[in-house]
Parts: sequence; C-alpha cells; structure tokens
Amino acid sequence: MSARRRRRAATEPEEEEEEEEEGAGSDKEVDLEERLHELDLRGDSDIPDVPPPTDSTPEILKKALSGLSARWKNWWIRGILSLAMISGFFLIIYLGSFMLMLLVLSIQVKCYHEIITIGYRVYHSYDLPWFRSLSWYFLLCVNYFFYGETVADYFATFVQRREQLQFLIRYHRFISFALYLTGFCMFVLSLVKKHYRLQFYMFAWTHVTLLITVTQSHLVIQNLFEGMIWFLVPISSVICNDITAYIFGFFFGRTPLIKLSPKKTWEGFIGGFFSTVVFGFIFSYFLAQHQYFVCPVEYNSETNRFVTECEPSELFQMKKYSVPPLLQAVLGWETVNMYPFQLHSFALSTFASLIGPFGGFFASGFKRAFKIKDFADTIPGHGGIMDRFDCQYLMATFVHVYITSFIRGAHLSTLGSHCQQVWRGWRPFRAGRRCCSGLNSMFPVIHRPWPMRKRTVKTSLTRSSHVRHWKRMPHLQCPQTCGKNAANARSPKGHLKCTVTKRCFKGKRIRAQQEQERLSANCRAHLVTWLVPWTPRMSQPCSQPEHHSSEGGPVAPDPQELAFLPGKCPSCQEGRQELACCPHSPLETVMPQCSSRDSPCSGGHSGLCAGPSMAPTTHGSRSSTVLLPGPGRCLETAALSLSSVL
Amino acid sequence: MDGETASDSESKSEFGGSSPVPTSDDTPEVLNRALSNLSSRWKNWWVRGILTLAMITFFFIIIYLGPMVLMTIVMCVQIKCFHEIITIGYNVYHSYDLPWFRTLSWHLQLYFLLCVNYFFYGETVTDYFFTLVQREEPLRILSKYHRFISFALYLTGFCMFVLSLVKKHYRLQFYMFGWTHVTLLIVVTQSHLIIHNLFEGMIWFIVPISCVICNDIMAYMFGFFFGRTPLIKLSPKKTWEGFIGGFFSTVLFGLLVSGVLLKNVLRLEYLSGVSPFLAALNFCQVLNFSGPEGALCVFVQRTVRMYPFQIHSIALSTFASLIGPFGGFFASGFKRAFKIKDFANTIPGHGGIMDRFDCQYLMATFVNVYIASFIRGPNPSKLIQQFLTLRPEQQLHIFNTLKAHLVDRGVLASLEDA
Repeated sequence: MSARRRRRAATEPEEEEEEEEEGAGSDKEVDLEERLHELDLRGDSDIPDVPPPTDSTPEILKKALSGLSARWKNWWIRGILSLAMISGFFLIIYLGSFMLMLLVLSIQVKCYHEIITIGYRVYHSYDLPWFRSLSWYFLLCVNYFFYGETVADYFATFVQRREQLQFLIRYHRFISFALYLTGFCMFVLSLVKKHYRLQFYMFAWTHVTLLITVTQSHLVIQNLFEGMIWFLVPISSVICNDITAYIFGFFFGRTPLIKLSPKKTWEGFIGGFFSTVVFGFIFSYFLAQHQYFVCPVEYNSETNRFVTECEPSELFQMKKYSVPPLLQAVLGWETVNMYPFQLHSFALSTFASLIGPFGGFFASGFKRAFKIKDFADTIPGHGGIMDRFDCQYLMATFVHVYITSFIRGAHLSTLGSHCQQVWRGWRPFRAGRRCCSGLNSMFPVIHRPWPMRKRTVKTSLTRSSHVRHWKRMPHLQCPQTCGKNAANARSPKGHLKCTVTKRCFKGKRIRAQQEQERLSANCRAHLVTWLVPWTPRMSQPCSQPEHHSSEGGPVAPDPQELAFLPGKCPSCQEGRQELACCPHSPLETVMPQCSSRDSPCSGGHSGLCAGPSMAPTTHGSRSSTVLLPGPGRCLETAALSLSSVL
Repeated sequence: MDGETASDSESKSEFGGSSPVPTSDDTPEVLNRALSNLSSRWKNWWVRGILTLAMITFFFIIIYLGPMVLMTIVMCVQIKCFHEIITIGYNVYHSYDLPWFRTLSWHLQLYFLLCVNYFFYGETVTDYFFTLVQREEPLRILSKYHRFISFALYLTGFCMFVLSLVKKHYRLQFYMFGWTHVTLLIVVTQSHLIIHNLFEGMIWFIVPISCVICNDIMAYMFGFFFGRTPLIKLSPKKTWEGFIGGFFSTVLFGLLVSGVLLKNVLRLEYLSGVSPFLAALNFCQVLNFSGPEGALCVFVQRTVRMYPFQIHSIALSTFASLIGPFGGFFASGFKRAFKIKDFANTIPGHGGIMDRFDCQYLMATFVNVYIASFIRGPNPSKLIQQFLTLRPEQQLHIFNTLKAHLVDRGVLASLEDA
C-alpha cells in the first residue's frame, strides 16, 4: 500500500489532499516517515499544525482596555509595549556598548530558541534522542567561532595578558572546528532507524537557523564596534519604518501590498518610506554630534572599559554642501550645512524601508507555511522576539557590507587572515580602526556635489607582466636562476627554462621571502585601492594631509592623500613620474623610498623604483618575478594607475 | 511501522523499487559482457576496481595538468554535487511536476549557487590574482565592491523568492529554500576551502585527498576480504576490520606519499613553493627526529630521518581515516532517510559524484583549519614589510612601543651591552 501511494504521490502531486483522505483508512501500513512525508506535502490545509499561542497580555492592560473594540485594543497594547521596548532600548544604550552586546547576544539566543521550538512543534510528537542538547551545542560552537574572532580582534590586549586565553585565540579555529565536529559525530551516532528523515530535517533546520541568527548577530556586533551610530541608525530606522508603516496603514491603508501579509498596505509602505528617510536624516544629525555615538568602540586594557573617544572622522564633521539646482528653486537655499553621514543615512533608511520589509514578508511567509500566528508570545501584542527582528536581519548584513564597501575602504579585517595575524601580534591597541574610520568620506562634496564624480585610483603595486602565464603559476618559482628571464617574463620558454633548473630546489629562503612580499603587497594594495571621491582637497595643492593619526599603529593611507591630483600640485607637473617628487603624494605612504628609479620596468610597463621594502610581487605571488630586496629594483607602481585619474 | 522495518533491511537493493528515482544500471556494455560470468559480488568488485583505477588515473592527469585545471575540476565537481543534492530534494518533494515551481525555483537555485560562488571565488581571485584584477578595469570594480555586489545579488534572489511564494505551496517552497541553503553551505564552502588549500601548496591538496581515497579503497578491501563485525548500523556494509585496516594503511600511505612527493616525483616548488611556512619550517629539509623510547627496540635506530611534513601527514591521514568516514556515515544516513541508494548514477559501481566525495568534505575543512592553526604563524619579515608600508609617524610610534617593550623585558639592554 505504502509503495503504491508513494508512486502515486510522485505522479500526481496535485491530488495530495485526496490521497490523504484515502490514506486515513489504511493507517497501519503507513510508517512514520510516510506520515511525515504527507505532512510535508499537505500544502496549506486549514488544520493548524501548531497550537495557537495563548494570549499573554498582562492583566492590568486587559482591564484598562476592556472597553475598547478589538482593533483599538490591539493598537493600544502594541503602542504601550512599543514605547516600553523603545525606552528599554534607550536605557541599554545609556548603559554602554557592553550591555548592548549582551542584549544582542541574548536576543540571538532567544530568536534561535523560538525558531527551533517551531521546528519541534512542526514535527511534534516525535521524541528525537539528543536533539535538543545537540542543537544548543551547535549554537554554542558557532557562537564560540564568531565571538572568538571578535574577541581576538577587539580585546587583543586583554587576551594577550592571559595565557589560557591566548591559547584559546591561537588555536581558535581548530578548537571551534573540533567542537563542531564533535557535534557532527554525535549527530551521526544519534541517528535512529525510525527517525532518519526527521533527524535530517531537524539538522538542516538547526543549521539554517544558525546561519540566520548567529551570523547576523555577529554582524550586528561588528557594526557596533565601528561606532555606535552604525548600530543605532539602522536599527532605529527599521523600528521607525515598522511603526510608521503600521500607523500609516492603520489610518490610511486601502490597497493591499502583498498577498503574503494581507495587513500590509501600499499606503503604509510609502508613508513608512518617507517618514523613515526623514527620521534617519534627523536622527543621524543628532547622533553625529556626540562622540559617544560616533567613535569606534574600543577596549582600553588599562581601564578595563570600552572607550569611545576620538577625533571624529571626516564623516562626522559639519560640511557645506551645495543644493542641487532642482531643490534650490524649492528651498531657496544654495548651500546646506550637514554631516556627510547624513547622506549615508539616506542609503540606510532607504534600504530599511524598501528592502527591509522583505525580511518581514519572508518571516510571514514562513509563519504561514507552518501555520503559526507568531513565532512565540513573548511580547503581548507583538508576538515573539523574532517577529520584531525579522526586518532587522537583512539590515545588519546590509550595514556591514555597506561599511566594508563604501566607508572603510580597507579595514584590517578585510585584508585576509594572513595580514590580520600580522596585525594582531603588534598593534598596541586598535589604532588601525580609529584611523580607518577617519577615512570615511564618501560624498564630501562642496563645490559640485550632486552629480558626484567618483574617481578611482588605479593602483597596482605589483608587477603584472606575467598575467599571460598565470596558468603556470607554480612553475614560476625560480627567481634565483632565472633572474632577468623572469623579470622579462614574456616568453613561456624562459619560464620553463628556469623552472627546470636544479638550483630552484635550494631557493627556499628566497621563496619564503617572495611569499612574504606577496602577502604584504596584498595588504598594501588593499590599503590603497579606494574609491576616491572628488574631494575639495583635490583641487588644492598636495598639502599636508590633515589626518595624521596621532595614535600610530597600522593605518591605511588616507583617501584624501590619494585623492591628490598631480595636475594641481604646484611642485609637480603632469605626468606619472612626477608623483614621486610630490612630497605628500599618496605614493609616499606606500613607497617610502621612491626616489631612485633607474630602470623602467620591463615588459613595456613603466614603473617607479622602490627601495627594499617595495620589492614587487607578481600577481599574487605565485609567479615569482619578485625581485628580492635591493635598491633600484623596478616596480610597476601606482604611478601608471594614478595617471589614469587625470 | 511495519513498512519501515521492511524497507530498512540489510540489502540496499530493496530500496531500488521504492526510491523516487530507481537508479538504472549504468555499467558500460563492455564491462558487462566481460564480467557476465562472475557472481554479482565479484562483478561489483571488478566494476568498482576498474572504475576506481580509471578515476585515479584521471586524477593524476589532472594533477599533471596544473592547478588551473584542478580548480576547474573542483568547480565542476561542486556544481555536480549541488545538482545531485538538489535533484534529490526535488524528487523527495515530488516537485518536478509543478511546472511553475520547477522553472522558477530551478533558476533561483542556480542563481543562489552563482551568488555564493561569486562571493567565495571573488575573494580568492582578489587574493591570488591580484595583479590581474588590478589591471582590468571591470574586474577591479567587481573585486572592489565585491561584497556589496554579491550581497545585492543575493538579496535579489531573496526578494525573488519572497515574491515567488505561492499560497498552496508555502511549506514546500520553504523546504526547498532551506534545502538549497544547506546544500550551498556544504558544497560551496567546502570547495572554496579546497581551493584555498590548493593555493597553500599542492601538497596540501594532494595528500589529504589521496589519503581519503586510500582510506576508502583500503577499508573496502579489508572489509571485502576480512570483514566480519559490522561497524555501524547506518551502513551495514562497513566493518570494524575495514575501519581499522583502513586506518593503518592510510597512515602508512600518507607517510609514504608525502615522502615520495617531497623527495623526487614532483618539483618541490610545485608542492611547497607557494607557501611561506613550508620554507619557514624547513619542510624540504630532511631532519633528524629522535624516535620515542618505545620505538627504539623496534627500529633499532635512535633517530629517523624524515620531512617534518610527514609528521603533519600523520595528523592528516589519521583524520582522514577516523573522522572522515563520519562524513560517509552522514551521507549514507541521508540516503537512507530519503530512501535512495546512491545520490545519482554518474559513475557505474560507485553511484553519484557525491557518493565519492562525501568523505572529502570534512577533510577540506580540517586541512584548512589545520593550516590556519598549526602551520601558518606570524612571520617576522612579513611584519617588517607591513611596517614599512606605514606612514613615518606610525612607524615611529611602533618603533617606540617596541623599544619600550623590549627595554621592559630587558632584551634591548642586553643587546646593547653585547
């Protein structure tokens, strides 16, 4: 019977429901998995799978609102509890970043709990061995992995002081992998014959949940460390969007927006959008005035506290902007004073109000799929924590990506693990962060702001003559014997010749150095590839860069410095070679000894010369035309690319 | 409940009838004819053996062809694995017959695969083909805004998914969404890690993979000839004898293979040249190790000459033979859960690609983590390089900090005295 039914299900999926009725008569032959299978296929019948959550509105509220209609009652309950939550949020902000981190952590755990519980309820009445403990164990592992990285990054000094902690950090990946592996093996061993499929479902469920909750909360915390403002503005934008969309929908809602959640209306969507943009603009104006919100959060090992003090970066300093002509007519102003961050807040709040709701739709589709009204009933009138944070989840990723792509340029953590390890060992505190956040100038526009002209500095710090032979990368590891050949590196023959040489085998030291150079070149190059805006400074002579970081530490070059234009530099003329002479040219930060350039790079590329530290590396390192330390070596530099700026 | 016990009986072949897609026999005609007079047990043995040899030869050819081809192969394997798992998902939910669902969602899944691949490979490309990326303007933009672009791509897919939700099939669609994501998590991240290992040096790619293959083969052989005690209920064909025999032969094999690789077969730089730490650890030097006291009486010699990498290879092969099979158990549990015999029938006698690579997947992560934790460390000259890229005042700051630190510890003073 069961086999027949299964075959039928394969051919006639549309008749699932009929089949179900038919199957009811032959219960005995249907095994557990079969039934489960039907559960999956049942589609959207009206039978609720999960018991509806009970009403947990506090008694006092109930009594006070007893005279109102259901619609207004809900409105009041929601309103009061929203206010309560918002004030709680403010309180926590006041308490400081550490409390915020704890809050994020606990919300994460709660969300995880809610989703996992739904999983249990969907597949109710089966008791899976080990499973509850296993899923919490996985949560622990993944959290250990992510938070370990954060701790290692931000509490470097703290960690270095303690031996045991140092061990944990050093072998962090290995430990977390071992932990995860233990869980994995436990899972495999806990597989029980009757429940295979169920267990795999729950395994997948756990993992998708982990993917959603843990990574997101990790990103939220990363944003928090960038500066409180990167945490507050997005989150409050989403909250504001939720609230205003609700209000607009409540009062003006006519046209339904999407079938998934019939309560959402176009009016609410649009009203929410505009009010969120305005809100984000104003809110960021207020936040940008305070160092507490603006500065990156840093851990001070001496005082054992989080410090948020710094010279506010460019992004948070008042600037004059000219108003686009279209708006000029309306407003009557020619220039506006505002913080550059306010322009970024547009992007954030636009995302929060246009794309953010998709997270909500997703969640409501999910709730519909599993026939639940809310994720839980933690907050009366709102549902579970997850109901409130469904829109936040996309937001966190967006902010993170936004910062890494447009704001930070190259943060140390984006440099790849090689470099990071290097930094980690040395920086006295996270000076790099502070300086890097000083680079935030995406649209510093004064004179011709609106049609923004983004300029890119084309920088290649590495020799690139071997691209044609990249297929042979590993064969090109033979600098000692090939010398010139490798440098010329145009003919594949030359390569072959040099790879066959026996002496290559002895070139260990050299290879090692090449590799180091590759890594550092990678880092360096990461540091200089920015989006360079058309900054006011670009029209000035290459003056002393203002952003001297007094803190020291590994710092990326300032885009302001990179944004210099040779044409405007009094001491320089047009032409790439002049870059070297300009005292504060961007190249100087990159190439300290850019004075002697005797031999132009082979392969038709002009190049500047650099000192020992600047030994060029070839595309990534692999082809080793890397010339070893020695003055007067040829380097294909940023010069070529900088000239393209003109 | 009765049906369950019946279908879970020892012989897997019973599943054939009930599985969503019964796997047809794909054995080539030539083989079939040649082996027609053997019993089915030996027939399977020969089919497997011949195809294993063919695959190993193929593997060698690819290694010979170089890392680019290897990378491409890894990509292809990844896509094939993804395809296999997703197909199972479709079959399980019988969703092939829903026309709208199939078209839309199949594209969506491919699209997600593309996004995630773009994200991971983009990082690799920016890391390793730096100059190439720098030279080509479009590539540079792609890598510069790499994260943003991949996020935007993913987001588009996400919104498409949300918009494609159709009332009757919510749950089905969410299942497929989850299925896709878990598959992506397994397949793409792992192949990404494999490629990373590849870039660390060929040896980090060849030794682990061949260890797993060796373990598979040896466990099969030992089990075939000496197998008595079943190891785990999940896959009744696996035996303790095979497990233990596989372990010992894999460790031996790992030692031998790494020794041979380092010694003469392949050029050293081909294996190790791309990684700094190999040289830093004198990987290529033959070192003397004093053996443990207990081993003295066995080997007579007090010291053993070997490459340090060989010691690491013990760790690798131990993992490959002890933990690696858990990947296989997981896969066979999965197959049992969805009542399929093999993931697909791409390779006759072996099943799908995924059947062969189930044990490899844990291995890739292990090697990556192993390298990150135990092999690669901060490198002094790298640090110096880093400092020289800083601005003067920053360099000064670091210099002063370092000096203070050294004086603190009394290192500097002693140096000056000397």
